[in-house]
Amino acid sequence: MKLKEILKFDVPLTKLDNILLGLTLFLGLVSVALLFFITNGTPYFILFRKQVIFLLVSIFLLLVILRIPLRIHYSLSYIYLAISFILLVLVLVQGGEVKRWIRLGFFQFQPSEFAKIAWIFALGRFLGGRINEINRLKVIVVSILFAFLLFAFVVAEPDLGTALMFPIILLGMLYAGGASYFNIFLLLSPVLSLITAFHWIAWAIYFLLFIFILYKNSKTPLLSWSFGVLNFLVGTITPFTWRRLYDYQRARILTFVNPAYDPFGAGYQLIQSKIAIGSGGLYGKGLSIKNPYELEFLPARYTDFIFSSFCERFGFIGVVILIAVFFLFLYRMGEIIGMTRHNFSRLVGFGVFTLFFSQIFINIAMTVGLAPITGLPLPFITPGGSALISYMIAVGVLIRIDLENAQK
Amino acid sequence: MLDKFSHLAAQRDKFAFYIFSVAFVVITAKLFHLQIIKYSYYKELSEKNRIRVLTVEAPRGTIYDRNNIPLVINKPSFTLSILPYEFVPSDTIIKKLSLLAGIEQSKFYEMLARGEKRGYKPVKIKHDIGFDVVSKIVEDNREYQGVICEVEAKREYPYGSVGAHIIGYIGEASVEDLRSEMGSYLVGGALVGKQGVERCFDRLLRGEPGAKFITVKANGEIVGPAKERKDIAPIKGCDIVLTIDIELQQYVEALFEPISCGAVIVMDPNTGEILSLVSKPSFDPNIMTSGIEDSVSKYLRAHPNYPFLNRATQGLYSPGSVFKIVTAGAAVNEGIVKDETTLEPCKGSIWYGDRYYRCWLSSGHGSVNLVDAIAVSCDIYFYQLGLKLGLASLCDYLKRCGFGSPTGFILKPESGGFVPDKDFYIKKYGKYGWGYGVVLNLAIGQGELLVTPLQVAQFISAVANGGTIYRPLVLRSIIPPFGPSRVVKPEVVAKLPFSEYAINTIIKGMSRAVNSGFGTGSEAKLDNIEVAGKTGTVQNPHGPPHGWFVAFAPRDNAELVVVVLAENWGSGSSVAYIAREIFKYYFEKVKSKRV
Repeated sequence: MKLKEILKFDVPLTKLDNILLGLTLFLGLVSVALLFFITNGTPYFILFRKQVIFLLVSIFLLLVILRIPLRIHYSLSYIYLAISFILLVLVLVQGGEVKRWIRLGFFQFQPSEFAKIAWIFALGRFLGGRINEINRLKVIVVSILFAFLLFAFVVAEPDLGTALMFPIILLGMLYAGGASYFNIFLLLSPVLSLITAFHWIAWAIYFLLFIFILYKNSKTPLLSWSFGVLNFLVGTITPFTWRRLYDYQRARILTFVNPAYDPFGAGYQLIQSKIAIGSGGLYGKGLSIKNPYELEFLPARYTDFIFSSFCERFGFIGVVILIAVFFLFLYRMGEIIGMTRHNFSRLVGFGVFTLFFSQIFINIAMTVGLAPITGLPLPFITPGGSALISYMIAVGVLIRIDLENAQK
Repeated sequence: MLDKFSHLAAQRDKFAFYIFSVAFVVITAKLFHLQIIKYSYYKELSEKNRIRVLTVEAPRGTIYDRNNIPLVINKPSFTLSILPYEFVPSDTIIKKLSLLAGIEQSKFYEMLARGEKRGYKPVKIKHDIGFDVVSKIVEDNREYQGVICEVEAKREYPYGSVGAHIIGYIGEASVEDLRSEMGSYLVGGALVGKQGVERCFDRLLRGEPGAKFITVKANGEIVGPAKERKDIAPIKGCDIVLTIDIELQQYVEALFEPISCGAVIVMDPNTGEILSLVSKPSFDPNIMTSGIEDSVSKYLRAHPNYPFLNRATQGLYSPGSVFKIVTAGAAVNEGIVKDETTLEPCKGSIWYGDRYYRCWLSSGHGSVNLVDAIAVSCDIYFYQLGLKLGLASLCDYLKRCGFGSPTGFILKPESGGFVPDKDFYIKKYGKYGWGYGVVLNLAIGQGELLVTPLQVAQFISAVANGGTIYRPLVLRSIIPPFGPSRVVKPEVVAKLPFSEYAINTIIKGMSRAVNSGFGTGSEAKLDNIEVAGKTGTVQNPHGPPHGWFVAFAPRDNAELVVVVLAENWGSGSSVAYIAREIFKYYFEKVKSKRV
């Protein structure tokens, strides 16, 4: 098949999902406008200018993605993943403290953002083709293995927030693919074991409960018991290792897992974030307020914590509107997924949904102090070229799914 | 697609919808709480007050000697710091502050710029400021907005220069420190260990700073602790117990006083523990702790001969006749000679190839056997042994005795010394440019061979204990603030490449060197304890020779090894008395209370 033929727009524009497209464009414009007002007159104004360019580029890419039939992604999905792995390794082998970007002359991009999309496609193909074997040992182990590899590469950058997205997407897609609740529980169990391991009574109760659930539900003994062993090892090794560490080493780990622990970084930021949100009140302080001097110290105010700036300026009314837009955005995605009858499309759609939902929820929850600070951006609003482009690609794929639904 | 699955899928989608709706409700509720219910509280905070975050420095761990006598003391002092998010830099304020703190204005700007990258951490401008400065800043806190005086412990070293090379000192982190592996936890302006234990165990000693959150009014007046966030208590650093006996160290340093440059090591041969380590000239760590970077260079200008160099671990010296112990051990081990074997008699010099090789005693020693040759340090005897052994064999023995590579001592940096082998000579003189003259020199410890006093102490300890090479040990235990302490165990590195007979022969010779009355080490003789020792004299073209004396006692079941090196002092015989006095002191005063 010729490329021209593939890219020929086979569906009339009138059939496009205008709701999803409209909400996406609205969010993009909110981001640009917000950035203009909060960075105007500061050295961070460059963020606004970049975001305008990235918005235009990403909308163009969205329109390109719309024309690509899903079967193309299906056949290329493993190649996408392979390329992502290569890029993630390339990121790691370069020097420096924080390694997130690949620089290509005049522009740089963050492979971990694209790896998320590639991961969704690859999983969609892998799980979609094995929907009846989704509870099998082989399927689960292979997908865990890849999720772990992606997690490890990205956490080494270090970027814990983004790294966590890979297992989260896996969980979401396994759920959508009909994996049993028992198996999903199994996947989560080592984490539970790790958390409870810090107190031996808590761990003992957890472990007994775990064995009980295992005994009651297990249909795949090998999988269950290997997770049993894993839980046991995690639970016994953790306190032992923890005790062997010096206090400063523990403090470092705590700061890594929960940066709010660091009083001079995210910890202080969280206080400032809450003050900014709370002082916004019902109506907000308006667009023209100038940042107090101290806040200019906070680059995160324009990135991961941009939501608090929004709350400060637009107040509760503005926030409710923004949240409603996010809600409608996700709800519309859910509707599209609900109408999808094809395994690959359905799983990819659910993966995209999981990606957006967990990022929106985790980011807002951390800004208001409900979740630990992990450094996840707020989709569309937080400036960042690679992220914006990858979101637009994801939205494009969902609209394409909707189009293909309508074709049948 | 199976119908069964589509039914399940619909069920799952519905449940996902519930989850995500609940999540949005929770977020909205939280925002309602922050923006509507607590609005006035946050509004006031944002307008009138600010929350200030201050570091609470962790008390730095203490360093103890083996009898738990503290070798450092933490004393409270004030540090002038700037809060980058409150401080409004203007030339007049900076001028005033630099005058107050006594630092240059340009340096002030430099430090300020360095701090901007670090967000909320106070930028330390000057450590250990006087109380008059503190009171001025506190009084005029409206003028000096964002300027604070932090309480920080100042390090004091009650023993001054005694043991300074082991204990080390702390000072302000330099650019090199920040670029080193320590840079991962250091910030500019922080105090950091600069030498010795203070540096090598810096990470353990320093602990983890805590934080304090206080509410401050817009004019700088402190309201009280912030309710927003709980303070974080600092984590105290680990305490460190050394193997050093500070009283013995004091005694040895007093004994070594007349010698301006050199080193002494007192070691337990059965564990490798260092009881005292002296390097001269020394320095006073109390002068260095003021935290000013250039105080080091000033000190160096005033005190010649590199006082910061730890001669015991970094100093490279020719071993001189001390090395005859290795030659003797190798020769006996190879079966070339036995303890009573005599060779060509010593007539003061011997002709080899194209020239005379001399003995240090120009009148000659006559016919001596191996044991006596060690005792009187006869060069002629050892020339002959060297020739019989050959270069390759001798180098091999040297390396297996621990020379030519660092001992792995924990206080870095450490020199590895140098063992000249065949490859080295070929490189230096060409393939045929050298003959067996190099072996002759090597056999009596002259020539290109270089060793550190620590390597010598490690080797003599191995001889004294019957052949086990221990890693030199200065750390006894690490005591974390919580949990069990970690005791450091002696570590066996290798075995001496000598047979038991060879070692006994060496010891016989070393004992005769001290106790026979005609040996070179007679000055080290004690009445009640049998000392075994060996002298070494290194010719020095720039002045008097360097004198070595190595010894252990008692001869059987040795308890103590002493290595003395005195630069430009005289022959090895002339420093033997130092070892004797150390043995005397140890067996009379230290041994009874030793732990």
